[in-house]
Amino acid sequence: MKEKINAVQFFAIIFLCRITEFFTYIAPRETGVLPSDRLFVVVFFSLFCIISLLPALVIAKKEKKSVPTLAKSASPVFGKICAIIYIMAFIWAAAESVSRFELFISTVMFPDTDINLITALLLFAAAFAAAKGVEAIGRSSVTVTAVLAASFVIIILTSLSEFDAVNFSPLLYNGIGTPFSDGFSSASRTWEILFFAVMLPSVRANPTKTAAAWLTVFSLAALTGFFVIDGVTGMYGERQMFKLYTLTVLAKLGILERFDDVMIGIWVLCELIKASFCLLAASRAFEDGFGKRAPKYFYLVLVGAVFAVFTVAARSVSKFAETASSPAIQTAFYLCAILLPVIAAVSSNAKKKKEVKNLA
Amino acid sequence: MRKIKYRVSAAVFLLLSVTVLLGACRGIKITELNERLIIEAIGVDFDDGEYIVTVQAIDSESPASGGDSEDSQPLTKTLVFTGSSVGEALNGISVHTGKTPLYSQARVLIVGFEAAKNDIGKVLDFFLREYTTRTDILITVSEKSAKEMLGASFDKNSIGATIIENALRSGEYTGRVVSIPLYKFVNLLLDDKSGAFCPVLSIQKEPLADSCRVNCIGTALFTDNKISAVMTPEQTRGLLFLTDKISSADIPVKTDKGLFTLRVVSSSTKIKAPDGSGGAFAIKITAECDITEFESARFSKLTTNAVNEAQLVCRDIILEEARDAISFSYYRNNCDICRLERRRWLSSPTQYRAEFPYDAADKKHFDTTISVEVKIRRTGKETLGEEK
Amino acid sequence: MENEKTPIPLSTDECEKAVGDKLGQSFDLLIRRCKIQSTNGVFFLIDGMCDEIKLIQSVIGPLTDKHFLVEPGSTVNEKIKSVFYKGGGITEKHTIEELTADVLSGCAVLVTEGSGCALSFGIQGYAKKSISEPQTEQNERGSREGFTDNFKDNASLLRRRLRTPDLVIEKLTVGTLSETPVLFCYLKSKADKHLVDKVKKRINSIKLEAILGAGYIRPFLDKKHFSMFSDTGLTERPDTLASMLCEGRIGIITDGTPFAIVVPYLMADYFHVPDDYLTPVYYATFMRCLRIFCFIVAAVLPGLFVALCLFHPEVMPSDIMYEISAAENKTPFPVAVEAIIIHLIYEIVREAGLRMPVAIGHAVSIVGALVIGDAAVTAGLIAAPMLIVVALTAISSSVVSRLHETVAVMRFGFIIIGGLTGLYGIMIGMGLMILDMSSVAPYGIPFTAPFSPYIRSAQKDNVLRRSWRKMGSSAINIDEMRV
Repeated sequence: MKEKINAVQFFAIIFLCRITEFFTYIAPRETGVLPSDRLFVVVFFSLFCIISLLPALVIAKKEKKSVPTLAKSASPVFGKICAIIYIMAFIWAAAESVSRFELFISTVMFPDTDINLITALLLFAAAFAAAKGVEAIGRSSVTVTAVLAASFVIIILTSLSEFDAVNFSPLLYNGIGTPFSDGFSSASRTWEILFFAVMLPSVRANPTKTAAAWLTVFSLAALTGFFVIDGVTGMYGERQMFKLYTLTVLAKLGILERFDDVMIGIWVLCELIKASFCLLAASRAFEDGFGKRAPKYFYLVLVGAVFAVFTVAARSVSKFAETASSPAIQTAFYLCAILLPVIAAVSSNAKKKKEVKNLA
Repeated sequence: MRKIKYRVSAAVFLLLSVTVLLGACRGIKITELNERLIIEAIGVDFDDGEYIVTVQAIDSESPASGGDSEDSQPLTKTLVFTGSSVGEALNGISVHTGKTPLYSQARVLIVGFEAAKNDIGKVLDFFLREYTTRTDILITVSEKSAKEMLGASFDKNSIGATIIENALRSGEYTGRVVSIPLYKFVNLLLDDKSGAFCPVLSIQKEPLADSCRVNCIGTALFTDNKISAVMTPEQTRGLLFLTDKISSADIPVKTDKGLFTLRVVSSSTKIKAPDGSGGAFAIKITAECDITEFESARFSKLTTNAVNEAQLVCRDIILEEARDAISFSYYRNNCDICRLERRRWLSSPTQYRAEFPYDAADKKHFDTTISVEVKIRRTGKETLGEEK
Repeated sequence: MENEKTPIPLSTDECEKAVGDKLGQSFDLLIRRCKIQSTNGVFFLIDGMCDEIKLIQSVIGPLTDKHFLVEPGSTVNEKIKSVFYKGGGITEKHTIEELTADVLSGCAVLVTEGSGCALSFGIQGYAKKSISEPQTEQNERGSREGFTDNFKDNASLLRRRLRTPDLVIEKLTVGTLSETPVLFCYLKSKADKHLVDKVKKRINSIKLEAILGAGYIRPFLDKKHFSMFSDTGLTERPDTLASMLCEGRIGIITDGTPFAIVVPYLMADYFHVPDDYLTPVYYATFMRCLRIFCFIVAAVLPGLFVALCLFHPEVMPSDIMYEISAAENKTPFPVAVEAIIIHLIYEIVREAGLRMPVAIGHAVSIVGALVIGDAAVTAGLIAAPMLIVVALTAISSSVVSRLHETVAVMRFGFIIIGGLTGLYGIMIGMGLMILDMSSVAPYGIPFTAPFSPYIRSAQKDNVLRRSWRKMGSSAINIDEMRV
């Protein structure tokens, strides 16, 4: 019998996955989102996420199956293709996340160090975690979320003394175009949406409520974070690549200074959870699409693929970690999030109708 | 058979990964704590197209707790390097000392007057990019050169940087020194709608000892990243009131009844932007004071009238200092210390767009009206008597 | 053949030969012939395992009494049984194997001529340790009685705390050579039937030759895949075992070990002690939080110290950093190597303290504390801050002594990983530790329950301990935590 996790655990996992992106939020320099406009970025982000989530949620509610399973029921070949696409998507998501982590470590923290050791360690740990199963990841996520929430609150509270409302900007001073495009760009990197397409059969929860809770809590956390970051750091923060890191550097509590190392440590935990869940989701996609259990070494193969993508893409694609949302990637995302589930649902329905007709 | 195959492949995999990973270990740079040069203060001067960087670092060979005898070695050592840029100059640390510099413990960044007059942005760029420097390091300008300030002989059992840092933080008690961390200073510099400022320190010899002490002689105002003027300590206090940065200050208030010393215990400043076009910014300063001392001719009793008079005189003093500060900085030297332009931008963006064609030469100045309210809350142990 | 049962011969001579062959020429096997009325009889017993005084007074005495008369139509055995039935402790054996098993258990066994069966008198009197204070689970206000090596004494200790017919203590025999008695204890109304069956099945499937301690059985009750955390726990205290049985768990008492195995055992249980239930609520809660903190300190502090010194000195306040820097300046070893050396020395001293004879045990503490600690710092081999770290680690480790093995190994892992990759490696290590904990689910109950999954009803006795008025209103059952 497959392991299952409850709603809180699934929420914790996808929340942690998204929050790692928030840690490494890099505002697009060419367009320049003004501080107060980030509210609208978050609003548009949520809107595009809802649109992307709809197909997966509808399938989960009506069919109670994952998208690869649905595709397989329409046609075994289509099921395999669907599984392969999702596996590639999860590998990409893990590689992109790890490369952001690498960018951060190599530019801000350890520019002198060969990051390969830490990255390899992280990926092997992720493979170990994925092999432990979804329950282990789920339970760990709840613990990590609690720790993250506590540290986030401490950092926000300790920074508030330096808050200055004058550092903000008028709402939509440069128009709505930049927040709209930034929100769209951020949403098209929200690979967690694909977890809804693949992992929901392993979750004992109402998917709509979980998705709503996830979007709401994350949006509130992001808004609070941006609000404090911009209020404290102002124009200085605008020049920094990693804003939350800048804020954590300033936070202090008594003799304890520079919470950035603590925060980054927690971020590493979140990164571990994200990478492991991506690997697990890829494995589930394989099982659902191919109809057989993934081999024991599958996780190691996936880790190798992630490492290869990370190494090749991060080195050869200019500003890969900063942007990683070229039109090609955005198209691929919406293909996986919207098009594939729709095609799977339509073809599965068509096949069912055909079977019913044949029977009749 | 499958189990054996699995074990063999696992062993091969482990062997390969260990070989690869251990090969990657050569990339790991592990620096012991005693291989680091712990830098306490950094000073940057600019002379003849060259940057002169002075660094005050902990001398880890000397006893950390300080010696017992008179000729115990100093706790710190001062090193001077030169280069065409700040980064290049600081690279000399590793060459000359054989240690990796650790900037994260640096408490103060001192910019020489000439370097600040040249372009402070060029000096600060290194510190914005270097990942180990503290974002909230205190920044100050030296009256003469940073090298002179850091090279001064302070008390042997103290770290010079600590003395300088304490001098910068003394504004919390005296209300005459601005204390501004680097990130706030840069925030003001980068914001074209605000004016930047930082304290100016000088070195003076102690009258009764061989060591030196640090004195704050005012506040430097910056326009286009260059020093445009220096405020006096009184004007600095006015600046602190205007920017709501007063924690505590002693204000001597001379009245007919005698000389009061009022200590400001809390202060708040509210700046209200004008509605629509025209109008003035309303700056309201509210201060609560305690009477710490009352010098009168015949040691007379404190009366209600005397206290009221002291309040009024104190109000006038603060008002004058605030007006002087804003006049000197904003109106005469184009340094918008109260960030009035930004406040205007926030409160009425449409109006702002019409008012500001963004030409520095045609910088519009807003009118300001300052009102001060002073309340004396405590008179000490003495009770108030009635006027006879 | 092993499983073949040999019936007891009718002739006592043949019986003597059969028993002698079975038990070999053991010097402590006593075979004593006697005459009961006119019937030949032979006693088999092991010298040193029988209570000789009881044997003479309660068995041989009555048998050889002139009033001991066999009625016509009755046999000697029937007469003996009717006489000794009042005293209790007599069972009938029909095979040589059963006879020898009882002899080896310390019973005195009588075979009478022509009966074809043996009568076993339960008059064990072997030397055993008396009930004393538990060595590994001491407390301030609770009971001072701990389990002993004898399973019968342990059973009685448990019975005295749970005087309910609900308490079931089944005797199993494990070990093909040692035939060690193992008591399987549970409360009928509390323990889940499937759990009971599962655990019993696992015990019965043990195929070891000798079971010389509870530790031999534990791995068979644990999960198959490797984890740093065990599914089962050990306790030396009967009150602790009793309280755990009341939560629906199962206790396994092994003869020869003063420890009982508890199944299933959760992470939260490592931080609970009996004193928690005997002290005020606020203090108990505070101490539980402290124990959790001590666990983290014991596992992570050395690695964290190394990581901060090497990779993240900016986190440390300046004054502390100066002191550490000045101290490390004098030592020849890198911080990570120093940490490994000093912790290895600590483990050596600790192990020596356990194994060394008591008489020279004091020398170990002197050598360990003064010579290694003080002299090493004076000689400049080890820095004083590192010594403080190891001292803190050691003390914290003692607070959660039940997790000592896990923590001792993890500590070295954290030191190495902290020395190579800094705080990030430490966090990855902690992540792996949390994942490992989360992956353990003894018998379907998550190891991290009731932290995760969060079980509200169990929170009254988790980190926070509520008063007995509130806890008494509804008892916690381990089955509530099953996923």
